[in-house]
Amino acid sequence: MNDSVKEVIIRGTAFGKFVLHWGYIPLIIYIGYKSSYPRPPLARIFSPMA
Amino acid sequence: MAGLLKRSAETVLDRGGAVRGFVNMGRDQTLPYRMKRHMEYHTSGTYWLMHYYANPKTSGVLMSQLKLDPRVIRCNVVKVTDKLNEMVAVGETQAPAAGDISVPSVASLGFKHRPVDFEEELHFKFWNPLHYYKALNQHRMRLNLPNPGQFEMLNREVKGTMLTNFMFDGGRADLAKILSPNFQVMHTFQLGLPGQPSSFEFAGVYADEDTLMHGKMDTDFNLQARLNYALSKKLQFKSQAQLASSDSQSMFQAESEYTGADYTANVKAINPSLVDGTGIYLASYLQSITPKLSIGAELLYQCPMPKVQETSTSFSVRYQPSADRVWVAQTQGTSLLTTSYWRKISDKCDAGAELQLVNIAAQGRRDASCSVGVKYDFAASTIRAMADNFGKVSMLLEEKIAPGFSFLVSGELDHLKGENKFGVGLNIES
Repeated sequence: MNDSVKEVIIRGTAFGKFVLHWGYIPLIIYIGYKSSYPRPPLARIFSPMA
Repeated sequence: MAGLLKRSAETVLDRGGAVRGFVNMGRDQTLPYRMKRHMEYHTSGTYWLMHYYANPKTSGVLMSQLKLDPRVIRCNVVKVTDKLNEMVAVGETQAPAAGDISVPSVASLGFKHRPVDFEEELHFKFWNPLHYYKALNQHRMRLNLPNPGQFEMLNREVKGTMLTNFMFDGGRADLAKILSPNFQVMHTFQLGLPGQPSSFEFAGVYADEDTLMHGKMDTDFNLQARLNYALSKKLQFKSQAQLASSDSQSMFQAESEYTGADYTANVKAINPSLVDGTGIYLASYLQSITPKLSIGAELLYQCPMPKVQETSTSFSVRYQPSADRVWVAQTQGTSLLTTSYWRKISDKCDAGAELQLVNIAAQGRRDASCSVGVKYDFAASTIRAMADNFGKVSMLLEEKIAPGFSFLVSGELDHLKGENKFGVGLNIES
């Protein structure tokens, strides 16, 4: 395999890891928020006490 | 159950329909095969029928409501006729019972009937080699073997009884918030111990009919992510990732599982790398031989560094002579043998025993460990107790004080080393 292709793959997986690491939980929250019919108030999602 | 029927009737009545009646077609019957719904397996259920008149849109609304309800395993609507006067003719006292709408709460209707062509079996064409496969398949279908489950879940009953997965240390508060039937959020607080700082974990779960997304992040910003997606009824794609700020602790795993009628095939890759082909790859196959016995094999191919390769095979056997007894034996390569026995003593109590033999020739390590565990399931509490051959005795008590509020106490005493662990916890669901 070409060295340049390897470089691209390595950088791509590093970027993918970064996106997954910080974006996965916001993605779940967004999907869950949009799909629940009585829209839960945002405070209920983020605060343990509400 | 009554609530479910009432709600279904209300759904029809509120939209201008009419409910003729309900028929109970069997209470707590054993299902013809084990069924999965809402991430749970069921082996028994009740069959209900609701006969109603409504427009197609109401039917659709009713079906989508039933599909979401966790009490329902299978639901189906069968249309009787298009025109109302065809159904109830003048002078007829009883409408036809066939084609009623079923509202099974925890039941199944219309399970697949496997047609077997007996004519073809008699004319077994021994001169046609392609016919052997077909004849073998027909014979296999006729045996009507149940699906054996997943390879990792082979000793699922023992895992549920033993304490090892449920044990915890220190103070712990688990607040789960169910924001909708699909979406759930969990906040977990853990009090610090000498050697372990306090931590907070946030987890979000989204569960659909096809997908399950689970993400957990803690104060060190380590992420544990899971994604399950059902590409079809039989093919499921599962992936798991553990991402930490340092690359050495990060892991990614992807597997795809095909659930056949009486077998399960699974292909898994752990940390696959497109660059140099390193990673761990597994393929496993589990087959039901008789309704009580299933046998599985797993092939492991490891490539920790570009030119280093290793393979190993594992075998497993699961024997379930009746619904309350399970024997499982598993080998892993040539170095590990695990056997377990699980027994359901009564509907409130079950017990399990596990024996593990390790024989790693390269390290010269030969030892065995054995543990016996018991679980008591009462209406308001669950008690688990376990004893080890290393002199460890542990116990976990979960007390349901109020609906959605439970209190946990766990303790572990290591008599040989003189160490102990103690945990107190709270589980709140709102």
